[in-house]
Amino acid sequence: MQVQPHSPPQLLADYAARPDRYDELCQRIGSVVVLRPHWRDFFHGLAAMPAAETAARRTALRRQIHENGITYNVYADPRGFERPWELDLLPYILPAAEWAQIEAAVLQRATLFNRILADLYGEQSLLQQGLIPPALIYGHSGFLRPLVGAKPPRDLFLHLYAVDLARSPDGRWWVVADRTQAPSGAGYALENRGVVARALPELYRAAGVQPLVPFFETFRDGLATLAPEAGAEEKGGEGRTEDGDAPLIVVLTPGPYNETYFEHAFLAREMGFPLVEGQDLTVRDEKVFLRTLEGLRRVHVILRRVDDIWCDPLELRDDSALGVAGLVAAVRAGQVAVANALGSGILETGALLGYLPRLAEHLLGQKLKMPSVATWWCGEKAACDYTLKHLRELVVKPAYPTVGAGPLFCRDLPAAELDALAARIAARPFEFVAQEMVNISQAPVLATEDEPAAGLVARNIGLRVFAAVGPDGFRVMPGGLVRVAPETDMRVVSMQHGGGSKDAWVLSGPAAATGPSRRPAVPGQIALRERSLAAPGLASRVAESFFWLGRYSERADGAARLGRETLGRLGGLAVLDHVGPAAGEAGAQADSPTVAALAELCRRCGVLPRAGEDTEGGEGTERVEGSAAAQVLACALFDDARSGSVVTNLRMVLRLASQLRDRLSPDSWRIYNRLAGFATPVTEAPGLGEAMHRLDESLLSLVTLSGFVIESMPRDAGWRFLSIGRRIERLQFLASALAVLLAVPHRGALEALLAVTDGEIRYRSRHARGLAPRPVAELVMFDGDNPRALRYQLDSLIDHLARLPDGAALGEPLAALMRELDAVTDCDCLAGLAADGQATHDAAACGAVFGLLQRIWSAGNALSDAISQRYFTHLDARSHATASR
Amino acid sequence: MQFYELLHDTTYRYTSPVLLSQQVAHLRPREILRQRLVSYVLEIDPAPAQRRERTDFFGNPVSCFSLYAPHDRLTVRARSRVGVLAPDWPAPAASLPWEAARDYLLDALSGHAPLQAEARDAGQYRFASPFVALGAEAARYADYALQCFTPERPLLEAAAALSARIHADFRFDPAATDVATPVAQVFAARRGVCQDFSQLMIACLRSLGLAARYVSGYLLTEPPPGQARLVGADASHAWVGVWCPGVGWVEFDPTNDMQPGDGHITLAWGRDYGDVCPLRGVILGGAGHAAEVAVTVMPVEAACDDIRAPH
Repeated sequence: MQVQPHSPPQLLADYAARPDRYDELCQRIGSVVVLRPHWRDFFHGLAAMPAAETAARRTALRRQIHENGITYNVYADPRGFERPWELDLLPYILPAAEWAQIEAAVLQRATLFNRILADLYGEQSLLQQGLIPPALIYGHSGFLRPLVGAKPPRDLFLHLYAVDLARSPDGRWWVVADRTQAPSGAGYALENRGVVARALPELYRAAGVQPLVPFFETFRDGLATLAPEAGAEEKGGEGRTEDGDAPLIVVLTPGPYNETYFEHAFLAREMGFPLVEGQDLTVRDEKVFLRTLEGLRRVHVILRRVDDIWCDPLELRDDSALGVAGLVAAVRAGQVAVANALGSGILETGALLGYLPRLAEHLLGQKLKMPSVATWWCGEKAACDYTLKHLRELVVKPAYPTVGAGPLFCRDLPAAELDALAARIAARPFEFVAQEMVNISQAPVLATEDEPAAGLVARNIGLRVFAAVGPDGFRVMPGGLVRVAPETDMRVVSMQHGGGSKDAWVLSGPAAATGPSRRPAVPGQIALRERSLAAPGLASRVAESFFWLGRYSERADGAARLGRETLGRLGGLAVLDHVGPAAGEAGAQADSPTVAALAELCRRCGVLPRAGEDTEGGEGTERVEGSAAAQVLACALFDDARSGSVVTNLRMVLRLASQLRDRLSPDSWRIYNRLAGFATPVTEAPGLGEAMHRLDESLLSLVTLSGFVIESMPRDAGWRFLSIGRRIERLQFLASALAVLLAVPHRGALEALLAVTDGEIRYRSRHARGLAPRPVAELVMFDGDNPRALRYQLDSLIDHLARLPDGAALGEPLAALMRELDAVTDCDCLAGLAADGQATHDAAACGAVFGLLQRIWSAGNALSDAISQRYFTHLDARSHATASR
Repeated sequence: MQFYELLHDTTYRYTSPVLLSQQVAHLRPREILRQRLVSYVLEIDPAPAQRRERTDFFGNPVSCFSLYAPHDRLTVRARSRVGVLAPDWPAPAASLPWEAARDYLLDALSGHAPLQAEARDAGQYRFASPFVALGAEAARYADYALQCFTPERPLLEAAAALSARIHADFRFDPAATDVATPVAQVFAARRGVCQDFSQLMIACLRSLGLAARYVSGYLLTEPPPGQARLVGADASHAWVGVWCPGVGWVEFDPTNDMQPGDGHITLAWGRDYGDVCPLRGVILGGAGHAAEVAVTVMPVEAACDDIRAPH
């Protein structure tokens, strides 16, 4: 069916220009409303697109956000609240000439702020001359006194700077706020670019958009120039062997619970820096080191996303678990560069805005190129008087950082609250800043499906622009993060208040487009050019996460296979005795011993509550039969309150994966996101079909992920720990499955054993004439070529361990067990298993086999402990602060 | 000048080994006009792998040291000899009205004129600090203080009255608080030790717009009549400095309702306890640590007498 293309009026039918706001898309000339010139090409391109195609593009964009796992706060909330990133399909477009003005203003501001910081933490001449009111600084908790006098490399305090801009009705740009501590958003902007350029490739290419990637390359090169010089170490007489090595730059994150953790991991991965947490770093002799498997590695530059007061429990906040004890001393000693410098957060106060014009004159000899929104710091008498007189027209904000204090729009306050606010301001004027309200501009957004409007609608927007240091000074990112106000509160442009984002397209000017230095604008190009940076050994914490990721992935796999097999057999008339361990004596059905054995295996693996763990039903044997039993099992499989259930194991997998986010490929991350859809708890008992579907889907994703591990992961230490974790878990699962299912002299038990070890095909291809215990045992125990056989796990573990530092000794107990296993192969005790499937065999006769299985299972535990001891131990120890009177 | 031999012993015993220990000590007596430092030795056992002496933001001497080898005990002994002169505090009634001091400071810190060096220093101590929060509770401190700070009352007279009032209203009770007890809790419970009373007095003064600082040190205590002076029987002490324009810092000891004399030995000063904690550290491992502190203040005849170690 042919869909009629939009005509422009259709697209704009619900788009309302407002006289009190600047409209980014349209302008009024006389009585006519026309498109602004820089929007024309894009708009006509969009208008030519059939509505169904636009909708499909948006669907594709959303799918990609979901698959890339772009979130604003991944697992940030203990209640599991996570918000997917909101991105509009339409970009925000700025012409080259207008951008040039913004760029110049942001460059000037970054330079100015760096000079102010250098003075506040150095001479303090600005305070002495009264150019900045001393009260503003002295009263601010972000003025970090231990850093006064510390001189950073190249006199740079500010390395990544962000500024929030808004446009007033007359079209002028104003600065609303500055971000000088650890600005977020640059990574989201880069991710937005990749997603939008992929969703609208033809429009993106036609527009001639300035690429973002060179900005990040410059920033990376700039950070490398901050590394303390090798010569400085020689002067210190320490004689470390690192001279001449490439600098090690790390990204310091508070961890996966931070609201912008996605971005920390994304930037680390894109720029090629290890992502570390405070406990990964340690200070020795006033130098910072990364704890790796191979020992301590010197760190030269820290790009931090931890707020500065949390960065060092020794000299800053002593209750911080996020920082590195001794970091401040290392900074003072000039042995590490921290970006942005500790203490730079103080410039985020709105109280400073009013003083910037004279500071620009004084420090740079220039006029301030872009004004700040009119702001009054009440610490000044005149400003306080003005504020109290005009309170109703103003927005009041805290001057010093205060937890949970947002802007107050006085116009909306009831009279009593307004009076109370006025009293607070009068009592503690230093603590308040008042700002003029700005009617910010509006830009077109594609209406969502649940809106009554169609086509484009107008939403208020703010633009966050970034500047970063390169090897020779600041550079401004050509573009930025456009934040869109939610319809519910059009005044607040903030990711925290909901609302969305847009990609910002800065069009190339005619000169720039032909210049040889410009890189071609490739849609979705986000890869940075290679640069030689130090590749550190694996951080111990990361190794530990990989190890457990391997274990839980395999545990989830085993639980899902076992659940599927048991559920399938329960679908009939079988009996599940879910309380007592008593098995096969009850039930007339031929298959009930198999089901009882599977239930026992479920208990051993923690999929079902272990005996005594389940209190419901009290004394006696409550017997649940047939489909009711299937219900009980299905609930247990998806019970997120119990460790061992499939859902809990999947959640652990996802949690560990999110901690390793910077080290997992985007493709595998998409599978993890798919898996997340099946890791949700069920509210009511799932039907059998639903439960089977969930198990199948989970298994499919898990198998796909293990395929990534084999095919895509580099064979580094991380991969090795992941593999070791996986092998240990599978070794234990196989030992349990063999011990339980081989003991049952039923054909069904053998079938089940093959099913949960994925061995049916291989078995049939070798033994055409039906099931027999001995060949099944051979396949699952001794087959050195079967990756789901016991022997294979031992063999593989011994090999992996031999390649770890000091690892060979850990493999010795396994080698002994393997020799025993080989001895059993020809042993008589297997003869007991040689009977026909229907015949009984004497389990006692196979005592040697079962004893060995038990010891192999225990060896798995012992190995896991030994690995933790040897490679992860120091992370068990927690730092804490001490103080004496 | 009265001379003292000072011993400040801190011993940590850990139930599990400490793998890494980083410490910052404010244990070296500060050299000031009325106090002379004759000698200072910091003995650390086990010996630290790294050590550095520096001066902090407030001008106090600091010893920083680190231990990288596992240990289950840490002993730090500061042994100093100082000479102290009895200060000659200005007459309280002669000081300027407290509102004038408040307004002078406000004006000096507002940036309308070049900052005077002494106001610049005082300004550091005018605002809330980590251990002296001045949020909503500030109004209650101000109300409490205003009973002493009546209109136009001379600043130092009012401060002395506030010190006396705290001494009368609050009970000395070492069990009631620890080093981290917030001022608001002390104010509500009306109990605490010198650290608490000093920080409360500071909170009261700052809530009125005055500059006040925390002084850490020792106080000579007299043994009961007829008994010998016991080693380790003393404790570290704290009191308050109030800034008075034109005069400078004038000190009050609200715990003893007095102005410091030559029995008050100064270690360091800062905005609150957190800036001058005698021994602050971060340890890795060492769950369940216990600290023992023993302080001895021994008056001696002269600067250079060879006093044998009491141990």
